[in-house]
Order: sequence, then C-alpha cells, then structure tokens
Amino acid sequence: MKNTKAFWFVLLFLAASALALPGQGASSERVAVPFSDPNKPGLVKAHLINGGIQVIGYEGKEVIVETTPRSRILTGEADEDKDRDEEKIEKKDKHAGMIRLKAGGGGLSVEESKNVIEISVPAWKSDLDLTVRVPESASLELHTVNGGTIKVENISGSIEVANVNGGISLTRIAGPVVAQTVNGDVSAVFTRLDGKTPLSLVTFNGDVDITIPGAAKADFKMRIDNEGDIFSDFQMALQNKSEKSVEDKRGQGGRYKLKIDKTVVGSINGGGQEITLKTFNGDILLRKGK
Amino acid sequence: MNCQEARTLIPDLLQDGAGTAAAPLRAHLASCPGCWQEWQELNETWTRLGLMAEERPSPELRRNFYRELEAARRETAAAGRLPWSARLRSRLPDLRWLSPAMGLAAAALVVVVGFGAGFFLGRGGGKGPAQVERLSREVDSLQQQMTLSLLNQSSASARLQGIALTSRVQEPEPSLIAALLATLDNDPSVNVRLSAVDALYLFADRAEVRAALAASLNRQESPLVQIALIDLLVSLKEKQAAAALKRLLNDKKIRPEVQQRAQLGIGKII
Repeated sequence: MKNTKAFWFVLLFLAASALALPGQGASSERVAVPFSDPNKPGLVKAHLINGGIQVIGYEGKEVIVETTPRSRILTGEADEDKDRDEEKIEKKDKHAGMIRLKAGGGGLSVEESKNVIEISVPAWKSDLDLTVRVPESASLELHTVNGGTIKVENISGSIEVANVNGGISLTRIAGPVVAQTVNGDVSAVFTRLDGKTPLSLVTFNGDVDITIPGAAKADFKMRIDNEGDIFSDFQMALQNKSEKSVEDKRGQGGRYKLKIDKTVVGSINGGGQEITLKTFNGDILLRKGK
Repeated sequence: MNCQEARTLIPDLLQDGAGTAAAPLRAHLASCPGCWQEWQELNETWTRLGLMAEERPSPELRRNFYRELEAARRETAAAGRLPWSARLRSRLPDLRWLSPAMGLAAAALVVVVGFGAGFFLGRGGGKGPAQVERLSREVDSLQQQMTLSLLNQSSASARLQGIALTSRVQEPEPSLIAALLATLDNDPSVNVRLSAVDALYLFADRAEVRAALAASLNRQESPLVQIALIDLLVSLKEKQAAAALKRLLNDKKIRPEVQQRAQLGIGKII
C-alpha cells in the first residue's frame, strides 16, 4: 500500500517536471570533474550496460560528463532528491580521502582518484547515452553492452574499448588502440602511429576499417573467415604462402584487393608496429590516410 | 637563361629571393615545364621543412652534457698531459742496451709463446659457443620475465606488448606458460586473449599446453576466442579436444557459427 503511494508520488513528480521543463530531458545531467594532477595525462573509465558512449577530446583540463536519457520513464527517483544538495560526501571505509560526486537523480556516478576518473551508471537506471569531453591527452577505457555505438574523437592517449551489440568508431586518434565488439563494425582513423605499441581491432560480425598514415611502418596480422575480403590501399609484402589472388584495380580508380585464405601476415613500408585485425563475418579495409 | 643556370638558382630564390637574377629566373620557370616542376617540388619540400616542429632538447640534456664534459676533463687532467705513446714508453723498461743476439732470442721467445698460446686457446675453443649459448639463455629468460611483468599491467596494450615478446622465446619456463594460459582464461580483454592463443601456438608441442587449450575452450565466452581455439586445436589434431568440441554442440549459449566450426573440427580430428 505504501509502495503504491510512493509510485503515484513519483509519477506525479515526473509529470510535474515534464510540464515544468518542456523540451528538456527530465534527468539530463552534466558534471564537470578535474583530474587531481591536470598536468599529467589522466585515465577516464566508463562502464555502461545499455547505452552509447561518445568521448571527444578538447583543449580544456576538466572532464565534462553529460547524460541523455533515451526514455523519460522511470528516471527521477523521489528519495534521491534528499541527496541533491550534497555534492561532496566523505566516505569512511575504503573510499577515505576520495570525493564522491553525485549529480541529480539519474544515478550517474563520477569518481576521481589518483588521476583516474570512473563514470558509471547502475544497470537498472540505464538506457541513457553518455557524452564525455576530456583533455586530448587522456587515456580511455570504455565498455558497453547493448544499444549503442562507442565513438571516440580527437584523443592522443591510449584507448581500450569493448562493446557487444554495437559498433566502435574512432576518429583522429594517435595512441595505442585495443578494441573489440561482437556485433558491429570497428573503424579507426589514426593521425599518427607511435611505431611500437601493438594495436588490436577485432569484431565477430562486422567490418574492420582502419586508416593509417601512408608512411606508417607496420606488420599486419589479419584474419577473415566466411565470405570476407581484405581490401588495402597499401602494397603489402606478404609473409605466408596461403592461397591468394591479387586484383589490382588501382589504375582504374579502384582498390588493390587481396583475397586470401583466412590468415594474412604482411608488412608495409618495411614493417614495424604490430597491428592485429580480425573479423569472422565481414571485410577488412586498410586505408591510406591523407 | 638556360635550364642548368636556372636549377642552380632555384635554392637561392627559395632562400633569399635570388637578388637581381630573380626576374630572369622567374621568366625561365614560367616558360620551361621541367624547371617549373623542379621549382614546385623544392618549394613544397622547403615549405614542409619550415612547418616541421623544432626539436627542443630538454634542460636535462644540457646539464648532463656539461656534467660529462667536466668528468672527462678531470680524467684527462689526472692522466697527465703526455700523449699515449709517451706514457706507454715511460712505463716499459728501456731495452736499447740489449745486444742484437739477445734481441733475436727475445723475438724467438715471443714467437714460441705466441704459438703455444694459440695452440692452448685453440684447444679450449669449445668454451666460446657454450658462452654464447649461456648468454642467449639469459636473454631468453630476461625476455620471459619482461613478459610476466607486462602481463600484470592494467593496460591492455601493455599486456599485448608482453605477449608479443614471447614470439622470440626459445625455451619457455613453466611460469611463462602458466601465465599465458592464465591470460587466455582470465584476461578481461578479448584482444589480449586472442593474442595469447596465437602465442601458445608456438608452445603447442607440449602435451600439457594442448590439454590446457582444450580445457580452456569451454570457459570462453567470446565467439572470436572460441573460433581461434577450435582452429588451433584442429590444426594440432588434438584428439583430447573432441570432448570439449562436443560440449560446445550441446551448449545453447554457443553461437551457431561456432557450433558449425566445432562440428567441422570434430570430423577432422577423429
């Protein structure tokens, strides 16, 4: 009986806020958090279950987190309102000395400790998209499972991304990348390769599409299964002797196409950095950047 | 102005405008396509060079340089100002008083000692390769320690780097193989697990590695890792893996593509 009352209260509250804030998400949230040492590159971790993540590198020093709910139902919570004024709560146990930053009723939690910022949303409150603006030098660790793409733009730090039902799209990046998804395309556009750290981009159902500078020295380990093909802008020195057929249509404005049985090991510009690209159902596209 | 003159003047034009020669040079460039192209290319290179960021040495470099210079200077001062030949001569006994006969005897002695030493060292020649072998073993073990420490890093790309190092390992220690197998089973990153599969392929001549690979198959959740393991076990014709492959066929959580691959695999190894 008590629960039913509370439910109606929540519903009323939602209706009221929906009327009061037309055109704005009932629980869109925005939090800005600085790193404890802004002069050193920090690490930003975000873990979602349902929802997409977008991270954009910018020239500022703070990390700005914004959430956009996908649906307005079941977002605001009545009892969370009590905490609304308390921005800083000192916790006694293992969180001693850390600052807990809490924002509004969406359940978004952002914690900073030793230059690591962790962003999380409880699973039952999800269905929201996360937009994070971070300093360009920051490193990223991003995970989601359902219903969203992970997009990263303009980052020079290292990037670790895992998705399950959704794609991964990285543009204007310059650091080491480790990316994997199950259902979705993986694309990465590098402005620069550091020449030493291994890169790995894999998917199960989808294309792997990577763009690297024309002068990059790299050793490729590529694997396709099923009906996939490997397309390359680069002339590649192949190391293994698996069955292959080469189709060179570059003269007619086409691409250089390699069709090979499953695994390809090859190098460009004399070899160097190790790059692993794998897909089960899909193509691998290797592009030369401008 | 002919082409040869023009081409020698192009760098001047880029640098300081080539003075009075500028006007005839520009006229020639406009009329001669070959020189025009040369000018274009050099101009582009010149502009790019200008755009390149200036390398700045760290203040540490300057300090280190002066510190080392000072140390070197003190060393020379301690050794005295004499050239090395003079210093050497001053330390050797003066042999000029020796008679020619004694000189001859000394020379003969040198020859005999030389031959003797050569013979003696030649016989002990087996030691050389042994030493090289020991050294290469040490490098091997160092590389393995490096891998072990990298595999404990929190960054996935560091762990990938650690696994990449194992491709050069000749004699894997049990701890290295255990670490690679633990990575295959527990690493949070699918990319790292996949690369562990590739690395373990190199050590798959060991029965215990093959058994562990077969056991790991039923613990994997990522379809990519499952497929990689199936392919590896099938290429090794590992009969023990048949049971693990069959378990995949009965597991409803396993994707149909993976089950199909397992089905094909069973046919190949039995």
